[in-house]
Amino acid sequence: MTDFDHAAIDDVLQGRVRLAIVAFLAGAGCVDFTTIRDATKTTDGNASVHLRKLEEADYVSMEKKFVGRKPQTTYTLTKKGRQALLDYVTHLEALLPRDPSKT
Amino acid sequence: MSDNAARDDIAFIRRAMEEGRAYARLRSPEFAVWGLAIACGYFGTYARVTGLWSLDPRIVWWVPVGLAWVFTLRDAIPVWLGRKPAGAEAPTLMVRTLRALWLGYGISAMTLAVVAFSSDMHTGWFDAVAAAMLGLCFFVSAAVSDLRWLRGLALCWWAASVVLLRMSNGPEALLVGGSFMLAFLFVPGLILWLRPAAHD
Repeated sequence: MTDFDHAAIDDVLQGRVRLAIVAFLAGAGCVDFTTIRDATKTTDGNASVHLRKLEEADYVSMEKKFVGRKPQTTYTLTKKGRQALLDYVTHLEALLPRDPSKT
Repeated sequence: MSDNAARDDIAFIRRAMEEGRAYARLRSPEFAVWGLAIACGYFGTYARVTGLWSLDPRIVWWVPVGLAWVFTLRDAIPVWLGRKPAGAEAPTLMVRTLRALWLGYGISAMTLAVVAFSSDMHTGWFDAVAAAMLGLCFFVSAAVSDLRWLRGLALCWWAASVVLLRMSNGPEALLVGGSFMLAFLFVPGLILWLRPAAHD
């Protein structure tokens, strides 16, 4: 029995694609839809669904604008999303046994 | 969740963040700035050689190239001068690879340029060698960043290298070299820089 709390794991970040999107955005900053889709090696539909879930959780913010007649959509990680990623990593690290050489 | 699953997840997150940082790095305006600076050198020299103006070719090379170096080192210079503390964030392997690759290219090209143009050597080879090295840098960048279209750019530079090698050392080579810089470095640099707004 460990003191690991399963309830503390963020459901939104449990999905691999959503986790990949959030981690990619954490490094990349403001990114367009195509780049996110390519980076996460997924399809248009799949990427859209996961980005919508991340938006609903307020983990990413979306900006739509027109340049000329062409629609442009970009995504950025929010503060809440960045904190969620940090918390998720902290929880994962809590699962790992401590390195005895560091104690 | 097992220890191995947790380790896998952490490694997965780290990889995704590295890809994001590599993407952000390639999105910087450096390529566009350098493409423009070197094109200025070529076209300025062409103007001098063909008598369009009498400006010293050293000025049309060293001023834009010097400004491009200042731009490239804009974050590092205040740190070297002690006016800004070094960033606390440790760069990832991918970012370090890209940084080392392109800085290495810049140093190699500058060293060869200084040796070639400050001596009596025949300098026709220099443009071809610099172009071939650019092809190599774009090829590695494509592999590291997973931006496949950069491989096409690598092929363009290798083809440009062959063209420049086979050209005579006349004024037209300066025009062609400058055009290659605009087409294969300045324009892709702009696309990379404006990438978030240029897709979708």
